[in-house]
Amino acid sequence: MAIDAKQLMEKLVPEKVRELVRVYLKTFFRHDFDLTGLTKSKIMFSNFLLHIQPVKVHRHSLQFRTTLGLGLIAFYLFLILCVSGILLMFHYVPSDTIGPDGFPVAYQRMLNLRSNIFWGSFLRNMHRWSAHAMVAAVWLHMLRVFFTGAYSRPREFNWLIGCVLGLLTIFMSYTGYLLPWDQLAYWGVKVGTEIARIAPGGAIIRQFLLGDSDVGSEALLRFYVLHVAVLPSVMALLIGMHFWRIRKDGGLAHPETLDEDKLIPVDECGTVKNASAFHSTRSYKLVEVVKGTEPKVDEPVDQMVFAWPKLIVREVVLFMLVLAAVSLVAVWFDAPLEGPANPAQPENPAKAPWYFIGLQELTSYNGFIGGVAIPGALVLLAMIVPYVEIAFGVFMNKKIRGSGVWFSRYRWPQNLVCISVTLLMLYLIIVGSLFRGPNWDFMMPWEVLSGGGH
Amino acid sequence: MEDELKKQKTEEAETTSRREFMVRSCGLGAAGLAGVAGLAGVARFMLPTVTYLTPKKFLVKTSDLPTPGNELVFPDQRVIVLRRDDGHVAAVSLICTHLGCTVYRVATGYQCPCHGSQYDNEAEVVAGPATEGLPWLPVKVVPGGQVEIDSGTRVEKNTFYSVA
Amino acid sequence: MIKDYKLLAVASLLALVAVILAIGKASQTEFAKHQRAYATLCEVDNYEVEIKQINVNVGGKSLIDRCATCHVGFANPDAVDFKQPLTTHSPIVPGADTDPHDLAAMGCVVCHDGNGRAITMEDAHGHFHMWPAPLLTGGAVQANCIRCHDTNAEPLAGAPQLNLGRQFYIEKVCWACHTIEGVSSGKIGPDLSDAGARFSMDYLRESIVHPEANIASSRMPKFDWVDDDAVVTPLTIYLKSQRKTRLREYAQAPVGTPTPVLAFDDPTTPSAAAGRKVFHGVQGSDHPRHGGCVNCHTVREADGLLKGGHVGPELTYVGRARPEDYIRDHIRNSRDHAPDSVMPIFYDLTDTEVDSLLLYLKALDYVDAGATEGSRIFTTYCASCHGLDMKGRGDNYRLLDPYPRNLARRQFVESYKDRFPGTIAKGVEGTAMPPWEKVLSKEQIQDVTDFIVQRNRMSDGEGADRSFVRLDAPLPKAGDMDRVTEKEVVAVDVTRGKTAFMGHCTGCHGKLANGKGPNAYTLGNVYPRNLINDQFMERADLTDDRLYTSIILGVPGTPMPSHSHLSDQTLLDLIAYIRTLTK
Repeated sequence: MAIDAKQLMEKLVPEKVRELVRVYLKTFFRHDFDLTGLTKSKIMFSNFLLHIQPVKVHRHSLQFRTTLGLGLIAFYLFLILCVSGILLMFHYVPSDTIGPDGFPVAYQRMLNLRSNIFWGSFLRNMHRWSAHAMVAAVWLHMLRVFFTGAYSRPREFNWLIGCVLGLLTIFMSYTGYLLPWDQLAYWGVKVGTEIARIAPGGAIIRQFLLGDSDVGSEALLRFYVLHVAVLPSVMALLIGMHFWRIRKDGGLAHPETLDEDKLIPVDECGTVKNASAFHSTRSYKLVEVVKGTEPKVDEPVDQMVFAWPKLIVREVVLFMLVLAAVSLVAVWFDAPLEGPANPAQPENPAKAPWYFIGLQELTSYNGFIGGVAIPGALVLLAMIVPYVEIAFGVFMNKKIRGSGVWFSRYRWPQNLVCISVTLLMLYLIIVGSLFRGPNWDFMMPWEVLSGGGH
Repeated sequence: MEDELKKQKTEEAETTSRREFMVRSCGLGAAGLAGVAGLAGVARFMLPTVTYLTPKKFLVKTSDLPTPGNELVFPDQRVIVLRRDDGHVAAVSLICTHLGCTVYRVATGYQCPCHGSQYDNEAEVVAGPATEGLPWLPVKVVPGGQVEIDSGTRVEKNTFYSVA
Repeated sequence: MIKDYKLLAVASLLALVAVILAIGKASQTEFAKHQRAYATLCEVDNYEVEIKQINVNVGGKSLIDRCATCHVGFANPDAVDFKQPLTTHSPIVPGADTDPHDLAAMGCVVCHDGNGRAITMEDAHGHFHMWPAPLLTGGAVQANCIRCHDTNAEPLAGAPQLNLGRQFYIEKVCWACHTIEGVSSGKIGPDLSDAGARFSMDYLRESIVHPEANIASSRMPKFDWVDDDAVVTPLTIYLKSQRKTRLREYAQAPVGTPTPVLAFDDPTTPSAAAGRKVFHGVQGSDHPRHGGCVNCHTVREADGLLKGGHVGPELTYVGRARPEDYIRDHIRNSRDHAPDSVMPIFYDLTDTEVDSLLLYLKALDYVDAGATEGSRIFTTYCASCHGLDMKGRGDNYRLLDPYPRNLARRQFVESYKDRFPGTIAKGVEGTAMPPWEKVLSKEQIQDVTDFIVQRNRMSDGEGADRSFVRLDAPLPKAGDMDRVTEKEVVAVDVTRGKTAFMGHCTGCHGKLANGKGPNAYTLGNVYPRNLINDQFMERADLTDDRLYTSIILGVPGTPMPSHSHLSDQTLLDLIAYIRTLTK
């Protein structure tokens, strides 16, 4: 069929016109579209959107089970959040001025999104659910990296960047939580900032965040600016660095190539019709692809696969899946919207967003230990893990092993600690969100709250 | 024999390539369609559905219309309602067609204070920079003893409507 | 590779489907069918399905009202026969030639609340979780007249429910505890000036009917009329009408005043008849907020029927039992006598009114007839507080401080029966127990004491013949030998006493010694003594000796245990410390 179309076109369209189209196309794409290795390299090199990725990737990286796509999922959610967020900005005003109907302006805007604006609900739902999903995806991505030991040398610094990105994600979600200015937002954020108060110097941080002694109009404005300008730009920068480092650190972590590993068949990445001398050369070390031959010297068995089109297509597939998933969720499930924020009438129980509920649960036992010591220690521990491992290796004269493999048996102590901490966090989150009733009393999720809401 | 095998293989490869092309086109097409649909949705998201300003269409109770032979200005909507002796009603916009100032009603017609455009009693331009007469507006009788005046639509000049 | 492209096709199709679903769902509008139906009914062909928004001009700002999107014909008098939601709204002022309310300009939310921005029924009517202003219908709409008319200053013609509620607010003495700007200035309960803006009808009604439902610590009594819808509904509407933010200047919205229902003159000279009016809340024209004792207190007039509210004590005998000054002070400020009383402060009653009340109370001369003299006296005088079963849970026990004594504990009665005649005759300062010596003769007091003792004997069943011995524990003096430490008792020390108090007593009596320690309310029928009740603690017969006995031996029949394990020194220090609390 493809060939038929080509022949048909040759018959119908005059040669000059076809030439013109080719030249015009060349102004956009400076490469051909055949499947030679040269073209595949050129596509990756000359396309701005693709050039951050390598021309060839290790075949291990291509397998879904290596990454479960988690890092990309988080990135795609970030993109979706940026787009839906910018759209929502067109209909939002960060003001708590009470209108004639008795509702704050920001909340009125939520009501508009729910009612007269086409896709207002959909985009808000999408934004809200993507935000929650992104926190979860980032968390799972970190776990993936940990359990595959992918933060080990030379990827320690990228792990640090990742940790900062993780914190930023949570902060991003948290700042966005306040913007609807409903009861859920107000009291969720209020509880969160009360936790900040416990930390040493937390009172100052709290003042920086809130711009006032309590959550109010100043806080709404600050959270808005942080949410739509400061944090996204910092995150975008760090995400760029994160990706760039992946390339500079030699792609994704993979197990060492053994001699008995098979050479990749040539057609692994599609039918290669014009097999040039390049088909088995690694070209990514070159500054530019030039014609010529170069013998391979002292190379292990080649495990590298062209990124185009195999990797790129898979990335697009993943994006489509993520988009479809969040869209479907946004169609069927409405983002919560409570009554307008009322500082005089607390929600009981006032619960922080789910990723902070573990902290809230901990603080219900002990303010300082639960709110500051434990989470601080966990974040610090997570960040220094690769460095501790290096030190351990230096002092004990041991080689760091098990990088790039799921649950490597060389890494069982680290994995055991990580699994325990994760389970503990999950336990706290589940107890905090499902088993806590008014006054933070323990209750079963199915117990009905008595007493009157209003 | 060998040639035949080779031929078969080529055919197979071609079929694969053709199927691959079709599937790929389907995928990219669907992705493109999804993108177009998404853009359409976003476009509708940006289009206003209500107005927070004075609405273009507004209702006037029949009892609030001027009596026959008189006229009445609705300053918020910038419209004048004229009523002929036979009871027919017309509405004329008071927005200058030059640059949108509000014109005054004067004995000879309408006068714009901003750049001196003048209109006669039929709202046609007689002087000044304006090139087009003031728009005459449709008056529609709606249920409930009211008329709806649409200041966003222009009709033939001297169009009077029966409101009986 | 074809596998990847197949995946791509599936994923893209899924995304396409999702986006199309999203468009489909957003395009489904509930109001379209209403507008179509309306157009059909009006026989109009040329119409647009659109969101119909009224921007109600409120002092330069717009109140957004999209109700007409579904209620298309609400301002169309010809739509009167259409069914909801298309039908026309009935005139707001019934019978008026021209209704001053221009519906098409006013919209709906001004009166009906709900969510004016919503365009689905559930959202618009505010029937979703936590919506602060659900739709008001029927008479409840009158609550919103106040947004333009000053209904607090004067009753509004055409708002009968609201006016009734206003009348009940005064008649049921809500004003004595609650503040409503321009109406009342009570300080005991919450300020209600913005109650309507903050709470829904359901919440307000619940707060009246079950005061503890929303504020667990509420001390608001549950009044006798809370089951009477004819009172609660108008009152709720009146409370719902209280909002501080107005939509327009009152000067622009006239108030038509209906004829006042109540017109009585204030008394100029004290008389029992005038006192009766004050007591029963029959209003004076100049001072509409006076009196109404009957809402909380019961009395029996000559007909012998118990009338009034079961919140405070029965007052039939108080005129006979209490001295005049006591009653006068109690009306002005009951906290002089009972520190935790919930009775409002009636500071603005005139002297004439107080004197009239006194005369009225003194004029009550009802006497009940009973089987024996003792039981007759008990049912007549004692049962309203101590209860017919003597358990200290009479009709109005809940708001007395301290609670009436539980006289159904035989141990207690047998231990203290010698003290009963004196207590009955003189009353107990600092409690609601009045002195009865002016009402009852010595013989009658002895009769009722015997009656109480006998009742306890009878109800003891087989143990009726048990005998009780009261131990003696004389107060040691400095220089005596200590029972426990066997050292010499030295001079008392308040600091040591405080330490001992914190260690041994706070669990029940509380750190403040006010009888409200953490265990206090788990003790059942008898609650710990409030040790900072000046009136009680400074009674002449509450000697150190008696305190010592009560602490070391405990109080039989109550949760107060024996503390004989404490040394005499500690007990004396304790007593010294307790004494400092009320000086």
